Amino acid sequence: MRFIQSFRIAFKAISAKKGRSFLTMLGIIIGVAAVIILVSLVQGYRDQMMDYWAKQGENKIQIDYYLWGSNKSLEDELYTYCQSLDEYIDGVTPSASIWGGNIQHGTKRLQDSQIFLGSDQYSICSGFVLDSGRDLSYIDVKNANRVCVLGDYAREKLFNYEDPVGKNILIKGERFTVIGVYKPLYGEDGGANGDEWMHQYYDGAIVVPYTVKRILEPSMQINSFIVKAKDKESTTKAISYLGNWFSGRITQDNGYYDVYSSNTYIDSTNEETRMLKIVLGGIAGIALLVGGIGIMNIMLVTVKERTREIGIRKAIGAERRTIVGQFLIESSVLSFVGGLIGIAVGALGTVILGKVLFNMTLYPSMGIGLGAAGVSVLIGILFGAYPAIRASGLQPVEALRGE
Amino acid sequence: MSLIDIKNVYKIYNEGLDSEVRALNGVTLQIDRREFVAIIGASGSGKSTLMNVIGCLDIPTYGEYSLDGEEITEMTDHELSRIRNREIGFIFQGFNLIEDLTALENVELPLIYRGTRPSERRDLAEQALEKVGLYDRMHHHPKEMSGGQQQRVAIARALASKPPLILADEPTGNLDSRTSADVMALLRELHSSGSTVILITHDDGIAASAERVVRIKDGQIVSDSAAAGEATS
Repeated sequence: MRFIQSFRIAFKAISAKKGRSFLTMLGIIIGVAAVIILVSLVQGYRDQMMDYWAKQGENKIQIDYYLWGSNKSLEDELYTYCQSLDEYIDGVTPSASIWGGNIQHGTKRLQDSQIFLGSDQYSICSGFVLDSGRDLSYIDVKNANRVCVLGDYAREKLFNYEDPVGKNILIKGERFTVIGVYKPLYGEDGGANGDEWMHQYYDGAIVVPYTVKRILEPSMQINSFIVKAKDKESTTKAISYLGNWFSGRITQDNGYYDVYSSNTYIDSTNEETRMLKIVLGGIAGIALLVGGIGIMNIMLVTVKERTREIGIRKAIGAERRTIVGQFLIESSVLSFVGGLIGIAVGALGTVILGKVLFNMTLYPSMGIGLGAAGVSVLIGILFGAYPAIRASGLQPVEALRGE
Repeated sequence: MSLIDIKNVYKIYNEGLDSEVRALNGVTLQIDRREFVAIIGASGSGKSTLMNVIGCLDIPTYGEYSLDGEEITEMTDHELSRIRNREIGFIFQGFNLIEDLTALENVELPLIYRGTRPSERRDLAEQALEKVGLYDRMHHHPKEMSGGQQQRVAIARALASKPPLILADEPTGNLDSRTSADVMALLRELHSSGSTVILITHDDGIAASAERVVRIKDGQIVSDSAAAGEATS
């Protein structure tokens, strides 16, 4: 009962001094919110990158090369060599696209289409999964058949609910038959996984056998390949084999080549975000510390102000522990409410800033938020109670005199 | 046995230094139950220090003080709080109300610290406010009241817990003569209803209300009407 009474007294003191109470909480609110927002943004950025790489597929090797001023192409030779590495790889495909212009089907149209040149292993290498119809086949590639497989966005734009399989579309004036449709690689909801641009670009794909470039773009050379390796170890092996293969053919004088895997990026992204987290977490920690010092300061000033009140309370019979209890409850309530508001502001700030800055839906990391709130509450309680413990130890007459 | 028994009490500040001040310099004083005593002295005479010692707000440097047979100078902080809460009702010159609380809450405060049940506490507080004529203003804050009303709230606070001893330190010091008269009337009423009342003042006119006048100067008692009365009889 006396405890409830102390609560009532503490709440009265808080509500009677709204300005001071708000300032006390402000330190905690800013500190906690800063920690949550900074750490969550870094975490969200990392998750987004990881998601991107996961979508791109792990153990994927990207090959880029170019030969200066030479008409000689390594295209067929490289493709054959890659296929010979079948011990390590699941598939290989050229990675190149042609601008297809506007493609129409009836009244529906797909603007600025990208025609992707692929092998029969294109879907393995790109992470596409067939939704209906069939994929490109070895025969399609060998015979340069005028067939295509549509990404989900391209299907939606050109056919909507109509079944596209078996229908024809015109690509640069040439008639192609749709043989299949891929499932969407990027969600279309624009949510965490669904960057709208990514959806339009990747799922807007129209994949044709790379051999039909003879018809669509005869002068084009294919300077990029994607190899899908079996696992992490195979990725490393395949990269080293491909490097050796290139070093015998391309030197700094006649061109360049680059063989790399997404694994490298995943590792460096992890390392990068870890550093960012430490640095930004440190900055946020300083914000929290400054907030804590603010609380200390206000609490100390408060007790000095309220020494007389403590004197009155002692004069009419308050025991020391009752007074300390009152101040403890008062500072705990302020700190807790401040911590809670800080968490709310931090969560809201994370979501809003994630949208505004990165156009991502971020989720606040609550573990770190609770930690920050815990620390600030502890500071608030300690420095709220310590001066009260001192003031309540005075003789009432000294406390009454002290203003 | 006297209610208050003070024997050879000293209160010395900065003892042994050049700036040594003897606020109380060997005071011996007995006060019985149901007495109405005025302690009178000029500013700096030590009368307030004496009142602080009597009210257990301050501990004497030397000497003995027993209140109702209990030795005060040997008590812990905890025991002193209990004595202040149960045995003594304070009325200060500066009222010493808590600004953030209403009149009723201020009056309830000593009862809260005593641990009285809420319903009983409220009844006692309301009765006390009614007695001082402020029943209809119980939900006002001190800031919204005149000096006389604030002092009456303080008196209500002092008498709500029905302590045997009422200590009033210059209770009319901040009040005009008409409200002073009201306050004095209340103190006389408290005395006639059975309380021991000790009044600290510098004003002979106010002191005249009391049955017994103790005069203090430079930390020593220079005259006591009770002793004088005994001497002449």
